[in-house]
Amino acid sequence: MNDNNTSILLAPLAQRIERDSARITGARKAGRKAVGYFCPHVPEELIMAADMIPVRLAQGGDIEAVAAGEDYLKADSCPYARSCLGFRKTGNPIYTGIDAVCVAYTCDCMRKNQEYWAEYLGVPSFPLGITQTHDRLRSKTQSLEYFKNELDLLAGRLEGLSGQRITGGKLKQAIELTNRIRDILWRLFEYPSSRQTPIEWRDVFRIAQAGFTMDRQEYLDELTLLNDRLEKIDRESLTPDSRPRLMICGSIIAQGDDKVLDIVEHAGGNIVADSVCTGSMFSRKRVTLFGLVGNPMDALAERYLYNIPCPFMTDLPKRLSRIVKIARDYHIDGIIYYSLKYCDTWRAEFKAVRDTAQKQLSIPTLLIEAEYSPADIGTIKTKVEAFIEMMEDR
Amino acid sequence: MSVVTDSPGYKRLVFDKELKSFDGMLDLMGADKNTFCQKGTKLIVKSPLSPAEPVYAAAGLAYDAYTRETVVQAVLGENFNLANAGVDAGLSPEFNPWNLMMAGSLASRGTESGLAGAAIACACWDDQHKKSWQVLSDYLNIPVYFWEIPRYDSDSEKWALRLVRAELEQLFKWLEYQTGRKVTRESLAMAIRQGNMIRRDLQALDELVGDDSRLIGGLEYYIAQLASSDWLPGPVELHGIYSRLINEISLRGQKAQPAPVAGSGKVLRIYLMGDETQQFQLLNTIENCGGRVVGADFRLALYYELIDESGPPLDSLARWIWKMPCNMPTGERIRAALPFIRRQRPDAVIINSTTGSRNLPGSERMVRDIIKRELGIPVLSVETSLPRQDTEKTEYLVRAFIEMNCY
Repeated sequence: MNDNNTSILLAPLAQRIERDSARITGARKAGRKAVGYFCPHVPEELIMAADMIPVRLAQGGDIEAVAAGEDYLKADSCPYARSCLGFRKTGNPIYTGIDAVCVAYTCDCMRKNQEYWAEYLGVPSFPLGITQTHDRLRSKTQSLEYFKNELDLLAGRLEGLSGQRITGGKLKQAIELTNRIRDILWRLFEYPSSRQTPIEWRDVFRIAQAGFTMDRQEYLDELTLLNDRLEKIDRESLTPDSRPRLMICGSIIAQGDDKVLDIVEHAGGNIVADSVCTGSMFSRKRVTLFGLVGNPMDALAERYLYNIPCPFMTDLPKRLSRIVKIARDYHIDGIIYYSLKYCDTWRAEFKAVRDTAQKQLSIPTLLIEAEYSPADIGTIKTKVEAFIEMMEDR
Repeated sequence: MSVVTDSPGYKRLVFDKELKSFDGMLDLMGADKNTFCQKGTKLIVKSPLSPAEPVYAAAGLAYDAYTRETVVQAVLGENFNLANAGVDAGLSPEFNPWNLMMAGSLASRGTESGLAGAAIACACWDDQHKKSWQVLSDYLNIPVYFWEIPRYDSDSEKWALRLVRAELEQLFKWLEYQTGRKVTRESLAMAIRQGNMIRRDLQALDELVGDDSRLIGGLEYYIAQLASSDWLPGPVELHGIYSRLINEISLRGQKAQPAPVAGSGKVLRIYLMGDETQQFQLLNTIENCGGRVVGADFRLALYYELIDESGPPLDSLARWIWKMPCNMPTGERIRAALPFIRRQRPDAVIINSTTGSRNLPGSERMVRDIIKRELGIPVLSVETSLPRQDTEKTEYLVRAFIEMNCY
């Protein structure tokens, strides 16, 4: 990125963790509570409206945390899921600095996480039921009603933890703040759709992840400042980037899980878009309040159930449509399909994505299966280099 | 010689050949599914742990492809290469061998699967099965319908049951489209009665396997449980097969004539938990090492209690489905299973994990700890995969476990 390296949004992960954990510790000493969540199906607006601090627990890439997680989950569970438990054991200050976790009932491994957090880590753990077959045409009414009730139940549990009532007013405030964050993040993710971009996708991705642990208002302020600066840059004056344009999609790319991104970058590839749950996927849909008359809980349910579905849900056509649309909008030359080892839900969709990309876009897809250990770096590097070389020859 | 007794897998296993009524069960497990279909009857795939009532209420024939394709191809036929066909179809090679074999077996036959459709339950107990059918729907060119079972949480009862009822009503419409037969209150009530008949059979088998005199071997008991998921060749016929088996075993009890047993002396009563194993020889191994299988929770969710026949059938079925033990968080699931385990009076528990499974193996530590705490008996964890894969290690573990706890 041009001239923005001083922003806290782009500070190294360790520095941000130190800073954010100190802030959270301070707030807890002052009587506030911090609530963690893993999958982005949990509306952080509810946590904010209960006057607590939302923290997305999405760190990875650490083999010590993975090993520590194996005290609970088996070694053939996805490394991210193992890390979610392991970071608490290894004393990661973000994971130890929370008073409760909210866990959306998504894939097998995350469901087990909820149980182990409650039973073994001594942390109140609130499950959130979420439907998997949310085809709008077939089951909108009953799915939405179920999810709305689950959100009400979660809200009640959060109120019990914080001792604060979640009022409509507080919830609307939280929604407005979060929507403004989403709006700016969306704009940032759109810059790399042009070859003349003032900011690269990799930086936007880092910025999106920085928001997982930052204070929400401070995050919005920083994003606004950054975006104002970017908007002032004359994009026509920038040199067009001629590297092969890639999209990355698949399993969660957690904070600190930089292996594949680094390899692609070093091999001369240019990732310009993504469809991963820690990237643009969850900043692209606002909570619609229909002015001020809508019920905010209804609005939350609609947004969080009908955003881009994670593949634990059955709506594959919607995921494929989104990937095709992004690939077209961002002029993608090839797709990197990132599948964390043992991530069953994403891995099972590789073939559908590859075939669709080939049929509808005539672009190739490369499957990368990775663990958090460095053992597979050589293999991945060879595959990525060959893939990018093929792009350059096209 | 039947197809089953001719198969290489059968020859590696030791069956109780004096139990004549078990031949019917064996033939059933090895049969080609198309032989079950009378003219016009539609074969509808169901998930192994979801109830068969909806399919039978729509006059279809339920088919547990997960179990049956695997038993025929892997356990009996030893066609392990079919797992690769599952990967070629689009499954991850890291999936468990049940899903890989099922997908490989069906995919290898392409559009000639003979299946009219698949009604797959989306619940909180098996991502891989759901994803396998997402992949297979394209490959086999058959309609696949996913229906929702929301997780069990006593605080969610009101709206969760509303969702299950609504999902069942829509499933019935889909089934009606496939089979041409409407699900009515009467047809559903009939299917529930038939299901309860099977459940009573399974409960009777549990009682017999837990008897102090060894009346039925672990392998026979296990196979009888596996056959319960889809009620093939039909609920009445399956009940007939179970009844003959139960009568013959009961007769042994009356004559004080135990099943032919491997080894002698003190035995360790073992309750099996976790994933079903494809290594059927594990059941033989336990007995060869001085253990005796006195129960298993593999299919307990299908007969943990009878479905209420007195109330509106849709409501009763919805409530029963939502409270199936496999739909519960681990702690509640095990607590729900404890009375059944206690009733079998085990001295020890063996938990099986299937390589590549994430659900039950994911909660293995919790299960082990709860069993030790609540029952105070030793627990052994084993991991099994395809038949004949790493069996020596399992045998060594089982032998050491039984020796250590028996003497």
